[in-house]
Amino acid sequence: MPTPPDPDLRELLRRADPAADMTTLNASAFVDGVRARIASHATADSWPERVASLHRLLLPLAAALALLASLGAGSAFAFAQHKRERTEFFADAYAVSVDPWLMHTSADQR
Amino acid sequence: MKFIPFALILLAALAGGYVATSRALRAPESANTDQQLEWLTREFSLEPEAAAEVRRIQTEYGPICAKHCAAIAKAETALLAATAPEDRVFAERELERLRKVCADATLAHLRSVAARMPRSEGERFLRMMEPRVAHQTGRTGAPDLSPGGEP
Repeated sequence: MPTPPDPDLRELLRRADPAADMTTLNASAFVDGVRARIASHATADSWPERVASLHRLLLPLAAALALLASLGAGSAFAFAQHKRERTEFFADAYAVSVDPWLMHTSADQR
Repeated sequence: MKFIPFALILLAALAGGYVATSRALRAPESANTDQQLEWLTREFSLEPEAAAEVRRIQTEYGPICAKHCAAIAKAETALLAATAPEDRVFAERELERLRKVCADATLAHLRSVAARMPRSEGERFLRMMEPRVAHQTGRTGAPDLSPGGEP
């Protein structure tokens, strides 16, 4: 791989990989080369990578939705229970108000 | 294993939603006639005309119910005061007669109210109310309204 003109970087690369192609390349050509490789990598994105990337994006969204669904389910359960209790309460009260036996017993208890 | 903390968070959210909503919704403390009629109107989807009709029926039935209630009180007092066996038998028979009169009047009133409701709602209303006012022969006092109690 052609290397950038920076002498320190060249020296570092040479030490790291003595077999590397140490042909000097000017800075703009190096940058263009990097961009070209990034671009080619991006277009060659494989399916597993795309799925993984989608997974990373969607996981927090799914977690937030699950949290909201849990809150909503708890709330709905409490609401249904309240409605049932309220119905029982009013049905009992109405029964007392129309049934003389219940009314009599209720008056005795008071 | 890594999903356990998240499952716990979901459980906590479920409990949090339940507790917060339970606290926000207050249980009714009393139910006067107006509140009962309002409940009937909403619970059984009464049209305004039907609601007014139910209110009228209820107003007409109130004094009848109070009269029966007073008669029951009087008959029970007579039964408690009866010392002679024949007086006791007479008082028990009177109480039994009143029980039947009251049960018939109550059921007739409930059916009259149900007739003002949409058909399916009227049937639901009777299914809800009839066990509450059902009195079996030979028993005194109110039916057992506790869950699982004998009607």
